[in-house]
Amino acid sequence: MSEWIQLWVERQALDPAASTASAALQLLLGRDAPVRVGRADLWELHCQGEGDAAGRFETWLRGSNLFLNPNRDRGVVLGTVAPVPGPSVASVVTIERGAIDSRAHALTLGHALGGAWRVRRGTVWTLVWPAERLADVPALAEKAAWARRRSSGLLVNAESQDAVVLVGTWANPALPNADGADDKAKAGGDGRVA
Amino acid sequence: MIGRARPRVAVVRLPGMNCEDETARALESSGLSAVPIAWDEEPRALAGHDAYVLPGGFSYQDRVRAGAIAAKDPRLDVLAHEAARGVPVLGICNGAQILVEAGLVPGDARSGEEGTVALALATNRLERREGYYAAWVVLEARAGSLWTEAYGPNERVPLPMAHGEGRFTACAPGTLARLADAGQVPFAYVAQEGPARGWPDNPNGAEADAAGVTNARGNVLALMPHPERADRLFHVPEDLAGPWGERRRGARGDASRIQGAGPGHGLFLSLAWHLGVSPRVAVEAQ
Repeated sequence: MSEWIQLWVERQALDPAASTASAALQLLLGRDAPVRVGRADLWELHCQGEGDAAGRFETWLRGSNLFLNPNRDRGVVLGTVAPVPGPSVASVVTIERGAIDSRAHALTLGHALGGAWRVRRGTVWTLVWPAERLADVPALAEKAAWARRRSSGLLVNAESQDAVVLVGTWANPALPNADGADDKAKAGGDGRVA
Repeated sequence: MIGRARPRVAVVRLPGMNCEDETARALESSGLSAVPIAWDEEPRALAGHDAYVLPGGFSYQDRVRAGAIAAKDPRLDVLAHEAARGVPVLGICNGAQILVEAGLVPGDARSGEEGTVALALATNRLERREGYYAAWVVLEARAGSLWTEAYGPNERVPLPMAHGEGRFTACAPGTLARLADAGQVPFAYVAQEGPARGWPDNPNGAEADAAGVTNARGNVLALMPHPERADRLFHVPEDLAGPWGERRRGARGDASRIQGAGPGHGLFLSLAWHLGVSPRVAVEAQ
């Protein structure tokens, strides 16, 4: 049996990267900027083994600081719903192209919980617009996400990062290229996987 | 230069940068006048200088991506305008990351349009080594660039590097090789003898062993290693291999020789020559 487990890790207090990104997007997009910007680390763990891997992982996580600093961060094992639900919410899920899986994390989990693990890490930017901009959110999220020019976009440099932009929905796995395929070929040459 | 003011080079300081003082000293030692411009000054205070330098550090704490926030600063519009006029602009380390994120380097090769993001400085990654690394590396200074004028043809230049995101890369395969063919890679990682043979000659996995990349016109340079940290001979570690190491060991205990030019000085001297500082004046400035 194999399954993907998603661990969402965010700061308990204000995330300075998120607030700076918010200010920069205000500068770039003006009235089209999101009213709230959040950031979280997204760990995606693939487990091949017996039993309820997600349940065992969640129990084990309570006694570990391998994935987060419990004095600073909040960690949530995601279910099937979007981590920040809402129709006018977009998630920009990014990972560096060719990022190496964390062998150290995978080995630790294998020793602690049994089974064969694969561990990937990316970043999720959560962008929230007012409800009255609902129809514009897909376009606005794309505009905020892709740093294609100095005067537009911020969160993803397509020259070195892959990303998906999810609006009002969520996916598991969400990080691009979970199958480890050649990123550039899959992205069709511009690095974008959406 | 008698009767003529030294060329004025703006050293642009953004929050989190930390190499502005040594950069200013390296400029001054080449006969240039370093003018610090802080982030809280009006962007228009930047205009009208003879050249610009974005020094190293961690602008805006590398939030989002290294250089990404600073690239959106209105001051970069001024730099882009000046660069389009042919004014030299140098970005060192974090400054290089800013120039790349701002689309000043390399610009859009297809349209020639400035401001298009066409490269990235991604996380160091080579042979399963990933992340921050600090060491002395050897660069080849390639002829034909205003930034390498003061070096001999293909001279080996040892410089310190210290970064976590210095891997020049692009989505389209072969981009860096094409830039190198076009003369837009004036500084490349090499071995002390021969080309780079993986890590540690190329310390970050940069494609085409690129350490410094320019725009098509050649007046804007994004350089990852730190020439300002090798401007004087006393900056060179005594155990460094090669001619610069020998020179350093030979100057041990000699107060005047050890204050002489280091391997990074040639880059600032090249800029000074380009701006009309005579070699004699540049030597006197040391």
